[in-house]
Amino acid sequence: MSKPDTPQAALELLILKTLARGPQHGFGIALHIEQSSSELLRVEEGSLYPALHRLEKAGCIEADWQVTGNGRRARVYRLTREGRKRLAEIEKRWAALTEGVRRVLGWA
Amino acid sequence: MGLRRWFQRKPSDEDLREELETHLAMRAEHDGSDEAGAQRRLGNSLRTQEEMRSVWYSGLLDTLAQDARFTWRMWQRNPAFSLAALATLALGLGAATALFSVCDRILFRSLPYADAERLVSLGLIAPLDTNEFLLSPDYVHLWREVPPPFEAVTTVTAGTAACDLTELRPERLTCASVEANLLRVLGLAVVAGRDFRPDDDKPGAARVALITHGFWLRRFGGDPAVAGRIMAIDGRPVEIVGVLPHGFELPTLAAADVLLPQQLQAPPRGVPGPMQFLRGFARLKPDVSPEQAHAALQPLFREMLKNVPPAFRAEVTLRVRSLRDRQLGDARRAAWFLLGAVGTLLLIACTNVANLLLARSAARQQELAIRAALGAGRRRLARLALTESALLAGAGGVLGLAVAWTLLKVFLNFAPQGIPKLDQASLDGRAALAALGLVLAAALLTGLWPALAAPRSGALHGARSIAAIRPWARFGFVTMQIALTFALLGTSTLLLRSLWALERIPLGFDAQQVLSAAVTLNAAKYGTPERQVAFFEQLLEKASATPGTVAAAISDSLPPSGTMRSMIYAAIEVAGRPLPQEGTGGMVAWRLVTPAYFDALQIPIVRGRAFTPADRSSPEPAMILNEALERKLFPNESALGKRVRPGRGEQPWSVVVGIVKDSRNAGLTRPPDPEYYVVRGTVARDATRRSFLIVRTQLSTPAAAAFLREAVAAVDRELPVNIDTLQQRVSGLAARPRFTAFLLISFGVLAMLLAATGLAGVAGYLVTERTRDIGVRIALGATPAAVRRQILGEAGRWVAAGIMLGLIFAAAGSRVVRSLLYGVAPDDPAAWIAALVIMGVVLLAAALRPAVRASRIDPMKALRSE
Repeated sequence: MSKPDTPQAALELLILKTLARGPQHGFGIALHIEQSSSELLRVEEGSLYPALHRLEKAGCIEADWQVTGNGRRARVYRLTREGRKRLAEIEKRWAALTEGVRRVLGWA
Repeated sequence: MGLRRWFQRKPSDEDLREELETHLAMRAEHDGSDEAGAQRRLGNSLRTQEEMRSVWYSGLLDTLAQDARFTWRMWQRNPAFSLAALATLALGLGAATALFSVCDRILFRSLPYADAERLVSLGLIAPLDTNEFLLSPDYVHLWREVPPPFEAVTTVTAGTAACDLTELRPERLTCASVEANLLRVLGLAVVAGRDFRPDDDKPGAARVALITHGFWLRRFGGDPAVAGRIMAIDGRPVEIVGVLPHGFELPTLAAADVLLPQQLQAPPRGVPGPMQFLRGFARLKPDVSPEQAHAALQPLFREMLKNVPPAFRAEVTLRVRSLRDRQLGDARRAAWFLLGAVGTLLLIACTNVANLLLARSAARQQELAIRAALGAGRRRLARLALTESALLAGAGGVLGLAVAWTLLKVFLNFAPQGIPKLDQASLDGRAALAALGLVLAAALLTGLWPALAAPRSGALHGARSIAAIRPWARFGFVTMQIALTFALLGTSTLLLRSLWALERIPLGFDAQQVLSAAVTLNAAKYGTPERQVAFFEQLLEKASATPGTVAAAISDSLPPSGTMRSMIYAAIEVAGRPLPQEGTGGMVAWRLVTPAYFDALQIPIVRGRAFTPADRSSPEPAMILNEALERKLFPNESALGKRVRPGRGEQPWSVVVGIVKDSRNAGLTRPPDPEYYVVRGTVARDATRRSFLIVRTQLSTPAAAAFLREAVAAVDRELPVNIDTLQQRVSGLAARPRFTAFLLISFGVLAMLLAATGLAGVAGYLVTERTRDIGVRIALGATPAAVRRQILGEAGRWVAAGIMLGLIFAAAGSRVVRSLLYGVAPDDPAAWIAALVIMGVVLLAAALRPAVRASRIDPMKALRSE
């Protein structure tokens, strides 16, 4: 898993959170992040897939090939139990980090 | 969970690609753009895929597997290269493995005894014998207690005797007499039955024997209950008490089937009794060196000297040396030499392959630069190069094992006596380990330079892409190859000349058309001297009557080497002279021969006459001297007619009736010892159990041998007899130099082929690199001959540099080579000039093809290409 305060960590957090809502394939995850952040976040697609595979190797998510509505084969990811645990941990840490930054910046 | 991870299936390259493609399709559909737009958004697809891949396949094993697959594909694309490299390495590695196997037993492997490094051979050195010995009276009296430097001492009676198994199925065996504690001192145990006990060694004790493993299997079928069986040796019953372990060797290296206890007599001091010649062996205490033991034995040595006549004491010394030294001493130098030669060959082979690899990577510079740009770091490319050379070396090693196996078979057929313990050389675990070590060394040697020459990513834009590799590396390799090859080739010509000289040594007798039959009589059947004499007389008659026989004789020994009777010079009395007082004067050899001996061997009579049949029964014994003895005994006068008595007063005076030319009797290379001949009479005194029948024949060898066998069988049908030609015996003495020369020449020729291909390769590369320049020169009017001269001249410069370097190598090794040569000095000009000429011709011929190619360059094409 990536170090906590790197962009990769942020991406991993977003991916896990997205998948917490339900299984999704890579494109769907990217789309969801863009739409949920109201276009504030634009996923670097070149980093998305390596991040997905890192998470898969670490055991936080699982993948299966499924056929989509248009008849295409897509690799669909879903959160594992281990992934859920990690998500909770990372969320807590991220909350602490952002709170700390906010306080330092005087944005209480 | 953690467990799940173990069962994860890694996505394949197909999976990753498909995943990205699906993404692109979906993005294009969503955004309403085309694939290109989606591609732009994704970025570098290939790079993303690589990154995804490296999540799963980043372990060392994975990258190695990837490199291996890539290497295999490259080899398939370029079969000429890969086969050439593989063949070269297989030859080099195979030869090195085979030679290691041969030399292992001589140089490295410990002798087949427990803690063999602590075993020593010890005894007196006197002109009597080349090896150290002990005399049984001394041993029994003075060595009763084990001297302090040693844990234990044991002896083996010198020489082995032919003995006969006189049972239902009679068999001729070899028997050796040993001290009862031999196995214990050597640290070995029997595999069946029991070892000798001290009681077995007492004179007069019941006769027992230990038998060797091979004999046990052959004769008794490996019967585990063989202990306790009685067999009849020479007509007398002997009980088998134990079986020796497989692979047992006597420390004297004599071959034997049966070991008997010595049962040394111990007469009281001063009383003369039977004396046996013993070889002494001992186990040193830990941390005691042979030198220390030598010093510690001085008091004991002085005691032994008291039994030596005062006149001879100065010539007797004590020797304590490691057992390994005694068994293999003079073979070790030859073994190191051969290892050095094969190592040189392997080095040449590896530089050839390294050059091939460098040449190929020079051609691949652009491809490698692209790889570097795509993210393969320099280290990665270096690892790729090393992987390839490791695979080459590994495959070469496996093929090399087949080569080694074949070579070992060839050696065994070609030179059984050439190198000691050669018949034991085999591809065993140690050879396999050595092969592995060689493979690793080869992998490193061949891969190091190409690995270091991996390009930086900046090489992508080089206009002269080939120039990225430093050119002097390849030239340096070729020069080194030529140097090593020259050293090898020159040494082989030296050895050839030496061999030629050996085979032309004047023997002093004519070995052509002479057969010899070694006969040892059955002790039971020929128990009395009369019967022994009668046998040989009958044999001589039958042999003389055999068709084709020109002359037949009986002698107790055969020239030019082998055990002979000897007499101390100082013990030869001359009528009318006082005996010499000081010293032994050295040893004089003598033979007991029938009159036709000189005829059969064509030894010229210088003065006087040969023996006649009348001499055989004359009361006054006749004697013939060789010139060396005549010079020594009678420096300024003729010896004819003089009366001589060897042995100080035990026999009647002999009369010298003839002088013969010196013939070799101390081996092929040592000058002949002084020698005298005594005519073999028909009386019991001259009886021997073992003698040689010498027959000069006009027939061809197979026919004559058949007749001889018949003649022996006519006298005694059951007698085993060994028939050889004398020429074979003489050639056998040059077996080791012949073997060494054969190997060196093979290596030299192989090395020359490799160096020639290497030179052709580098010259070709040179032409390719300078195509433009040459094209310009041709366009400006240079003739093809001039171009050829230029290329050949350059090649000639490397050859010259290589030859000079080679001379330096040769000079460095000349001391080792000197000990292997006969009649030729290591700096013999003829040999080196011959090697120079051969190499020069071959190498320049190799450089000719690229030179011709250069002269045919079309200037227009050359100037256009870039």
